Parts: sequence; C-alpha cells; structure tokens
Amino acid sequence: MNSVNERKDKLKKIDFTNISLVGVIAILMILFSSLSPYFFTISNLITILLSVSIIGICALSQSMVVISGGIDLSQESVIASAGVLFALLNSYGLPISISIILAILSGVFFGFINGIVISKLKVNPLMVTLALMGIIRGINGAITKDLAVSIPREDLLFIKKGIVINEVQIPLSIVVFLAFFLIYLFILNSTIFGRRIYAVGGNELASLFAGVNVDRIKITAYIQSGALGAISGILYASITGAGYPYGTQGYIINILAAVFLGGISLEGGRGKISGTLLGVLIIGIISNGLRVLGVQTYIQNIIIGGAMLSAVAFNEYKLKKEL
Amino acid sequence: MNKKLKNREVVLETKSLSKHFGGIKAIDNIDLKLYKNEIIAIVGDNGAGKSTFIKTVSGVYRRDHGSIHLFGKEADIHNPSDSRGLGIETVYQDGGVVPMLNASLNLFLGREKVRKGILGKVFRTVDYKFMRKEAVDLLDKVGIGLKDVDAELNNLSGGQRQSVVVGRAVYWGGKILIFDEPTNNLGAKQERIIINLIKSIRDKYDVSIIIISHNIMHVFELVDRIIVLMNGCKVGERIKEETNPNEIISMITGVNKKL
Repeated sequence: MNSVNERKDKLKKIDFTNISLVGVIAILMILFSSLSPYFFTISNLITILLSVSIIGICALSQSMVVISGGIDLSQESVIASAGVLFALLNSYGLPISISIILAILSGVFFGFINGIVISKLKVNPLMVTLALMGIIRGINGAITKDLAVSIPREDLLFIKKGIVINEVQIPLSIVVFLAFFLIYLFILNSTIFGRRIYAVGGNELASLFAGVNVDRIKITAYIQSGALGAISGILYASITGAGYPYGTQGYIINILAAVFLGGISLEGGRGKISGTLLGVLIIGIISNGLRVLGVQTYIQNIIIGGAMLSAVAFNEYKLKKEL
Repeated sequence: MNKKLKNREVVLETKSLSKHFGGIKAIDNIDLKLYKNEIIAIVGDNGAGKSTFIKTVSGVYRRDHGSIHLFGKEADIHNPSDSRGLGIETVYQDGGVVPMLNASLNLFLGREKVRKGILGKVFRTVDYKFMRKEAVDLLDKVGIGLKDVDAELNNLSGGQRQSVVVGRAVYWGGKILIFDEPTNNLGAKQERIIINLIKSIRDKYDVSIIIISHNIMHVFELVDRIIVLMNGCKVGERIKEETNPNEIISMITGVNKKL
C-alpha cells in the first residue's frame, strides 16, 4: 500500500507541462512533415528558428516580467523604436557599434520609465505599458515622419553572416536567442535575483515584509524587457533591412501567446522559462508549417489564438483542480 | 507561573510611542515594557491600534513620536530590515508566505543562502540543498509535521502554512518574536497546531514574545501578561493570574472604566 502511495506522490511531482509541450511539438513536426516534403529540411528548420528568434528574445524577457507579477505591453513598440533609432543613427554616419548601444539604451530608458511609474507611483502595469505602447509608437512615427529608414546592406554584413558551424551558416539572431535562453535559464533557476522575481510575483507583500526590495526587482524586470525588446528590434531591422516605425504592430500578441503557451501564469510567481522556449517553438512551427502548406495568414492567427486559449485553459484547470 | 520571569530584564520598551495617519491618531502615547522570556498579549477591538503598534515597532511604519528601546538602548527603526537586525522577528497577519513556493524557499525568503565559491560570489547562485536541509531540521526541532517538505505551501493546510512563518521567526534567531493574529482564519484543529507550536518555542528557545489576538481563550492559555488597547491608547494592563476573561473583555469594550 505504502509504495503505491509513494509512487503516486512522485508522479504528482513530475511537471507534465513541459512534457506535454514537447509532445505537441513532436506531433506537429510529424504532421507537417507528412503533409509537405519541404518542411523537414535543414534550411526550413533554420528558417523556423530565425522567425522565432525575434519573438523568442522578447518572450524570454516578457516571461521574467510576467513571473514577477507584471506585464509589458509596450515591448512591441520598443522593438520598432530600437530598429528605427538604429537605422537613423546609422544613416547619420555613426559607427555601427555606437548606433547599437544607443538603440539598446533607448529600450533601457523606456523600461526604466515603465518600472518607475509601476513601482513608485503604484499604477497598474497593464495601464502603464499600454500607454507607453502608444506613446513610443507615436515617437517612432514622429522621428521618421512615418517613413521607413533603410539600412545599407554593407552595414549589415556582420549580422547577416552570423556564426558558421560545419559549413552551416547560423544567423546571428538564432545565436543571440539561444544564448539569452541559457542566460535566463540560469538567472531564473539559480540566482537570488531569480528567486526574488518568483517571490515578488507570488506574494508581493510577503516579500516586502521579508526584506526584499520589491521596487528594485520590478524596475529591473521592466528594464530588462525594454533592453531585450531593443536588442530584438535591432536584429529585426537588420533582417528586414530597414527601421519600420509601424512594422511590429500586433507582435505583442505572439509574444504573449508564446509566454502563456509555455505555462507562465498571468498571476505571477509561477512558470518555467524552458516552457517559454517550447511555446515559442510551437508558435514558430505552426506558422511555418501552415505557410509551407500555403494556408492563409488569417487561419494561422485563428489557430495560434486557439492554441494559446486551450493551453491557458488547460493550465488553469489543472491549477484549480489541486486547490 | 513562568519560572523564567524571575529574570526581570527589559528587552523591549516603548515610551510615548505614537503614529498618526492624516488626522487620525492610530496609536497615542503607548508605554509598554516586555520582559525577558515573557509572553504578553496585546488585545483590543478592531481599530484599537494593535496592528499599527506592531508595525511601528517592526519598522513597517515610521514612528511619529516617542521612542523604542531594545535591550536598554534606544533604537532608530526605519524599515523591517532594521528591526530584524536588532533581533525582532515579526509574523504578520497579512502577507506571511508566498504560496507557490515550498517550505524551504519561504523560510529563506529575502535571506536566500548563497552557494560557496565563485558561482556564489559572482552570480549569487542559490544553495537549494542547504536551505532544504535547514528547513527539515527546523521543522523537526519545533515539531511541525509537514507531510511533504518540497510541496508548494498552497497544497498544505492553513495551520501548516502558518507554522512555516512562525518557524521562520525562530530560525533567524529572533530574540523578540511578534505574532500578529497567529490563529486568524484557521480552523479549530489548525489553531491547536499554532498554539502548541508557540508553546514549544517558548520552552525550547530563549525568546520573548508579543502576541496580538482577539481570541481571549487563546490569550489566557498562552500569555503571562495582557495589555489592552482602545482607540489607540493603552487602557489597561493585567498579569494573567490576577484577572479573568470577563474583566479583559470589559476593558476591551470599555464597559467598565475602572483601571
């Protein structure tokens, strides 16, 4: 009798969320491979990774914000603003490295604004980041006069080249995305800062009384989502060859879809960053698979939205069932 | 009679402690002494100022007037960390545990153990093994039986959750433990767990305890001395053996003004 109960308890401890996500990925891969010969090729797999890198970098940092109990809707505008700033500064003749650094700093700045207003003025994150989403979008249009700012191809060579392994060229975006994934995996699972992100998201008051500097944790969370949004924006501008002030509208939907699909809870304090990686891959595989099959974009949107809805509903049901 | 009371050192004293919010005086000129190894209760109706008093002593609020003295020396307390540094550990009524985390993570909330070596120094990585072992040892010592040490506190009973916070106060070497409504929102069986835990702590550790409670039965079971607040002022003080529940209740409600 005892060993049966022990086994049951051990079974309960296994986190099925990631396992089911891996299962979903496997099913999708098998499905699309059987429907099209173009799907399971190295070049297509790299295309998938490329398409998810931008969203993925944002999803990683967004996950940290959501785990800490907040949300950053302004991220999609920050992607555009960094791309636009990068393109503009480059067109003024500034060295590439300077343009990149300043563009990243703009993301840090916007993140800092978010963080200060949310923590010190205690305004709801949804409202603050929504407002900033609009404001930054407006700024983007203002400094570009609503026009795209192109980046000469010569200036983007280093980014396009990326890293070469065994004669396979791996684009820089993918390298950056995977590097950030490993960094965030480490930070959230092993460091004091990561622990406190979970603590603040789980119970802000308890953390405050326990001596955690809650304001500092929150501000840092929004700064990193701004910074990584900016980094992905620079990569996005490099891939598309221009800074588009309005090019990223609607991106926040896919970013959040990946975050929630991966099992991060909107309430905060819960979720694994490895889940976010899997969520990002699922969305990438679905989009790419449907595109390879020639399915219209609106159907992609419906399917991705549906996938996020079912994933969230399933997770919430599992949570409430235990209570 | 608690034998330890023979030692009459004053560990905590407040003189004319006051705190107001806007025009309202939440606590007004409170003079209070806590002796070594004593357990006292602060009782009073809603709005009497019990929670405010505790939060002013522990540093959640900054005092407006008066002074706080710890072990004979005046203390300047600006935030919860200050009071902790001086040996005060507080268990608040609202905001004790992070429910999604397990016992050891809650035990070390805000004071996570850093791993030794480069990993610890540079990246501040967390030593999970150490924290878990400490949690298991502590729970053993004070007699809290958690069926699963690694379980989220969400999945444990209210009494067990509260036990972790109470255990936390003791673990960090608090010399003065303050419990704000420790048995609030708990069923009868869960309340027993906490009451026995507090008794076990009193017996096993060299601490002095302040309990806020509106449960007079528990108060009479646990404490040596009772202090009554009403409308922010101290209206009475009794040694347990020299009073009874009815007298305390009438002091709380102000029915009988005899001091």
